[in-house]
Amino acid sequence: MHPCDRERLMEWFDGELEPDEAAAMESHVAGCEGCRGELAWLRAEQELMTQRRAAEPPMNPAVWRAVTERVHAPAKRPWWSMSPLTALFGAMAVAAGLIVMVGRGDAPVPSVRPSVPSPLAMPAPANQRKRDPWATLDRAEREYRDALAVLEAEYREHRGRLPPATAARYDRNLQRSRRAVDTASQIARDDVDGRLALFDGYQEYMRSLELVVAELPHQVNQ
Amino acid sequence: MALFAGVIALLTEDRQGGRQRLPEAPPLSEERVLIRRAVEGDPLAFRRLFEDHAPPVRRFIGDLLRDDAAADEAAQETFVRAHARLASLRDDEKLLPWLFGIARRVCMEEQRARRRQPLAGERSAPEEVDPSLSPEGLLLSGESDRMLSTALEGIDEERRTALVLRIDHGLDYGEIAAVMGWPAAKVKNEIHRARLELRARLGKYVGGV
Repeated sequence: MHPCDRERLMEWFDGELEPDEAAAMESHVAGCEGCRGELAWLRAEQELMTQRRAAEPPMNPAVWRAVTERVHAPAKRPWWSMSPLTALFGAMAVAAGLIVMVGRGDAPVPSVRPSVPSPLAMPAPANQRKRDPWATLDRAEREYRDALAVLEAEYREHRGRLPPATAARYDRNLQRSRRAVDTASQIARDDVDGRLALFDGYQEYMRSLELVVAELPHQVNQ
Repeated sequence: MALFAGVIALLTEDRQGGRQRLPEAPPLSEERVLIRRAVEGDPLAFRRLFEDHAPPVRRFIGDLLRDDAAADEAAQETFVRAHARLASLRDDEKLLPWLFGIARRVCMEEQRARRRQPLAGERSAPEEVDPSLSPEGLLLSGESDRMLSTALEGIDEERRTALVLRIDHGLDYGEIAAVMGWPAAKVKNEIHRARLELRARLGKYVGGV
């Protein structure tokens, strides 16, 4: 290497040389007028960039508004006419609506599923007598599971083209998360509070799956 | 329900070898905490990440597109995509270079859409620097922002991208290689050539003063 190698000098200026190489370069520059001149240029360019940054106008606030609107934008088409991934969220919204309906419960919802109707229970208003909160919860959970199946099918479709290590990692984590939801579902079967909390778990789990599926094309292309 | 509190985290944290060994894990940086909270759906955390990183990302995009309206749109698109993919950010990966990678792809798509070859007719080989020009004279010449921007515009786009990642955003060669998809040797070579071109163009402006 020529001691006045300009590319090497640039590497030193950028902090890319090993310590021993950097020390040798520093020692050379101290006694070389040409390299000191070159170094002055590198510093001047850096300083110009710093000045430009300081004069930068503030960020256009419309950018954040647009980002947040798009990130939280509601679906505009019926969920059943969309891609499987988008349809998933449609199904989730339906399920969420059902949860709200049950949670709001105009008629009192028992914390544990009663095996025998209580003779002391107040009769429900006439327009709510036919509503069965347990059936509503069952239906909401079915919606979640159907949506989950759609997403899992999406994952399986791409899985074969993933790098093996990535596929193994996703498999491991998804299986673990799925087992957690299944176990919680069994435990919470007769406990309305547990059932409602389970839906939070479904939402979180599905969002995780969505993120994995959204990342699949990028992983496949790598 | 506590059972589900870390469901999302399972998908990402396990990449580092398992959540079960949490007590041994090093403390998380503030940025990493914000990322995790944003992945878990905390909009305030994502807002903080945006506020911290949008200015350099927008400036980077502006250097690539050289069109304020298009750059604002591309910045918007970059952060929407980042939001959707945030869970895929590895624990050992820095957020800003990752955002630059997304921004660069967005800009390439924008340029393809506009079917424009940036500065195709304006590129030229590096010129010799005016020997009478000194770096000090350059800094004192006034209007340095405008000169720098104009000089940057004349540099080949890919080369310019690598240069601004280095001298404006402070990425090291390895990070630039990851953003550009180049081998490290090419990064070094391109940045060197870009600096020579920049100097030649700056010299032309200052020499004419």
